Amino acid sequence: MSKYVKAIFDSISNTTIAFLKHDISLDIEDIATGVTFDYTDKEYISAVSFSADIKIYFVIYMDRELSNHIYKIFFPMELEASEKLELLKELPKEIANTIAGLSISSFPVSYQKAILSPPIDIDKNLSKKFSSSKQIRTNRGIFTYEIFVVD
Amino acid sequence: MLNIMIVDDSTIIRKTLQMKLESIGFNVVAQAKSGKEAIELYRETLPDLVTMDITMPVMNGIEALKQIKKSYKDAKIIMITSHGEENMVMEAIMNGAKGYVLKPITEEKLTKAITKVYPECQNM
Repeated sequence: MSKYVKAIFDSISNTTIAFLKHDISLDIEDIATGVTFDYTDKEYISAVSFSADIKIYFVIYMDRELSNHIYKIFFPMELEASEKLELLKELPKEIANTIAGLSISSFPVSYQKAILSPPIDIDKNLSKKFSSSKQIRTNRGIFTYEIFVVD
Repeated sequence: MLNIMIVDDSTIIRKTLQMKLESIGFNVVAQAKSGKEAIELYRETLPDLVTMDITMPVMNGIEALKQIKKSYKDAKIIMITSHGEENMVMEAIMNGAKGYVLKPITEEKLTKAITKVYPECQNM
């Protein structure tokens, strides 16, 4: 893994943890690395990509408890059930986009013009060149993410 | 009371903006999911201000800004942007955007950006 790719991975990781701690005010109880991330049948999952001379994917998954907690922070008032359902479904996209956007400013300088994609569907058959995954257990649920470069 | 149109492809952002703008005291008169829809709704509602996302499918915020400004020279449009979009923000400003708000969106940031366009809103 090149030093630049490692630096980008570290930026995204650090931003993720900072976001959960400071923007969502969560306590981080445990962080497991190298977790196997199965994308199938996950409810609250989203992915974005960064394009520079390499393409880096950032995929997140929040469990139901965490998704509901973050939803209540965004929308503390009562909403109709159908509206709440739609917002919950969209929430991971916004979280992935926000963390990804915040992380760019700490990328190596030559990668700070990386173009961030809108939320994308993940192709499970992508051939991953380098990847890093973490499962973060918080006091309000579990946040899992994977960062990878494709061949 | 200012009439505001929200333009963003994210349901979360549209709802968040609606909540925050209405809590400050503004009136949200329309919401568009794309630049193309924004142009149509602008024509119908003639809002006092537009909050415009930059990256959207079908037509992005900068193209929508240009087209609205072409027909409505006095249109007041503020861009809503993420980090990493600085070049696009500059392009928007050069094409007549009145300012920008960087995500995450807060009421303070919204009020500050809107007050630059409508100073009379300072005490809201």
